[in-house]
Amino acid sequence: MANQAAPPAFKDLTESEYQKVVSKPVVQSCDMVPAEQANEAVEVISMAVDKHVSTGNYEAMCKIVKETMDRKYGPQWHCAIGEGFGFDVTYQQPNMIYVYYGKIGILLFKC
Amino acid sequence: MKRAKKKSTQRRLQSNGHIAPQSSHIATQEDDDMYQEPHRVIKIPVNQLKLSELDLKEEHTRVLTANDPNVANNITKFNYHSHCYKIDPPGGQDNLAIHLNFEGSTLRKEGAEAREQAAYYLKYKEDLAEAKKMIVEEHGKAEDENDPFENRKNQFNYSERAAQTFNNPLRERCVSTKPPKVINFSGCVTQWEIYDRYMGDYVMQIAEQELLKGQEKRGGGSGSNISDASQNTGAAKSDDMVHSQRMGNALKKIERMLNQNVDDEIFQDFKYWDDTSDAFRDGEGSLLPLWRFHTERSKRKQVTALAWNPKYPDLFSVGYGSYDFMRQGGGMICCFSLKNTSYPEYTFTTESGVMCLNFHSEHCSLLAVGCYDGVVMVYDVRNRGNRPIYSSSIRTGKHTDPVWQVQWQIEDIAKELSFFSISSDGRVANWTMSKNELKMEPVMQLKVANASNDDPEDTLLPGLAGGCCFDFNGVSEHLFIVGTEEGKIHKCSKAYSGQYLETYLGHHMAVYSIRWNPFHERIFISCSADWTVKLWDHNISTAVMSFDLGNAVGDVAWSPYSASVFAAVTSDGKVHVFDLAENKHEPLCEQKVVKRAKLTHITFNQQDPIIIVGDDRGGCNSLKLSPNLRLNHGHVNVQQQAEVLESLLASASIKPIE
Repeated sequence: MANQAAPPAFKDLTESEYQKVVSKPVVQSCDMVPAEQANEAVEVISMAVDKHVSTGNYEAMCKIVKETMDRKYGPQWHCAIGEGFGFDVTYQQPNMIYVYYGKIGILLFKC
Repeated sequence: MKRAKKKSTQRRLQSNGHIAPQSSHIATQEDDDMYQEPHRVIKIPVNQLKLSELDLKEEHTRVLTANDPNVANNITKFNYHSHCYKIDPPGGQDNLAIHLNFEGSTLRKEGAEAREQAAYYLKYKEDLAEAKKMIVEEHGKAEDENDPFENRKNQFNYSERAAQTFNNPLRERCVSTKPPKVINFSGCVTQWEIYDRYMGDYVMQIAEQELLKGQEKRGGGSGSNISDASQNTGAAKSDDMVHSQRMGNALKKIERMLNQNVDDEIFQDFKYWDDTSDAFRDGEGSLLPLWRFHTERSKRKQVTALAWNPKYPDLFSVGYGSYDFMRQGGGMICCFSLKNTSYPEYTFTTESGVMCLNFHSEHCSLLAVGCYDGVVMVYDVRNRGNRPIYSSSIRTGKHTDPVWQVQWQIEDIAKELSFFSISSDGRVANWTMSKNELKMEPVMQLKVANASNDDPEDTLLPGLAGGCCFDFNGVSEHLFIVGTEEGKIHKCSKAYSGQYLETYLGHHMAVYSIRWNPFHERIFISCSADWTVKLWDHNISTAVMSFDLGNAVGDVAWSPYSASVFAAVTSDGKVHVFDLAENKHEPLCEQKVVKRAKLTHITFNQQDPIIIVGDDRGGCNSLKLSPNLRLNHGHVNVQQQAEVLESLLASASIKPIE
């Protein structure tokens, strides 16, 4: 059925509709083992992003996310936030989550 | 007289212990002795001065002075100073000798010394108080706690000696842990990737919504969502071709075809083969072994019950359990079909060993089961689940000992279905299948009929006889006969509970099986552990015929086609088939069908000329009767058969009881 429906193009959506679609975080990649930890991480990320997205202060978001995760799950967490970047990291399994939220990508991992 | 006096002195000597001088005055009278008064004797020393009266009266004066007469008062000593002797002045103290000098510590209270002492202590106390006060003033109150003037714990200046323990040297112990697993992860955040991802999700979401909408529409059409879901799952299942019901049916067909091809010879024998040698020997027959039904799971169990299905002549069920008290385990019921001889059609497992089975004659899928632990159950063999549709429990009532036989009752259609059971706890019970549970209704208790009333204890404690088997008369439905563990057979009626209409003596050991003749209403047959099979007329209290088979007889069964044919199985693995019309003393056929196993049960097929025998090694053998053993097979006339048996009994020439 999914195949039959034509993929909606950007032009099909109004601006407000698109905003609605992107108003929630999407987990692109995650290998955290307890599901609660992943949920917790997504929650922390969305909270931090919501707080600072209006000012575009990605540094502050990063700080909040990193410090919160360090407190909750022990050091050392690393967080990268940006609208466009490439990365190649080595992380300690299984502690990585890669989320899109709005127009930014968030990479959070422990190493 | 003199003699008497002497005698008295001697006596005084003895009694007083001192000798009175001969010269002293002695009472001459003997009477004096009687009172033994002391005698005063004045003794005067020999050298005492003899003073005259004048001398005695003269007074002497004596003056005592303090001067010591022993002290010399004229001691002269040489004086070195003056070089001459000089007389010491008298009254020198040299003569004083002190032997003991003791100063007392006690003082008189009123004395001056005591007062002095009291004054001293008073002053001391005052000084002490003053000193204390000063210290308190200087250091504050805190000083109070370790007051130097109070007694301390360590009054005696005791000091502890330190003890040194051995210190273990430090040791190094290293553990190297595995470093946590790391993995590389790389990616790229770009706006278009983010966009694509969100769009992908959006598409999925829309698709889901549409699916839900469609389901709602369909659900509205059929009435409910749930049924729709079940339809969907049903459809999904039907898609799975390998596990579908139709596939199962097809596979079953193929399995049966395969079995028929593999066992083609046996099937041919079953259908067409007859022992041609029977034509040449009269009064003898043989059994042709066909299939052996067994499963891997029943290997260690004994066949405890066999029952043909009344509607489907190819279907029979086998109950597995154990007759051995020490080796009880779980039970099993297998329903085999002659069409598939390699594997049971239906299998049910029970917690306790199965002891008996009975199919309902009309509702042919209902199977009543009695277990070793006293539970009776009803299975619907069509149900795939392993659970009985009814089961007795302690709450609804249950037998306390193994249930040895169950038998369905033929009731009116309107009535609820019911069956009877007999157990070695001495009770016969009627079980009614009500809406949701089995209702137990005790029919009778098998009291021990003690013919000899001479033992008072027996009469006081009427025990219950363990019932082993029972059978209902086909014509008079209320009538039934019960075989007991002690060997007695009782004729009972449903109408008179607790009373025996008749007791048949003859067996000496447990009666294993008892059956009414299907054609003749008065005749029944019984088999027992005492090696005998006995034929009875219920109006005659002794056995009409008796056959000794040389081993414990596990089961006996009348043939469904002839009133005079019955078969019995013995624990040496032999099947004995009798036809009384042919031979009243010897079996037509005595054949060993299993090696090293006991045969426990036998049953005739209603249509085909075969019998099934169960053994104690978990297998069932099917045997085909040769033509001599089934002379009457195929054209049964009830009236004629009854007459045949009647004439046989008449020839047995036994008078009925009055």
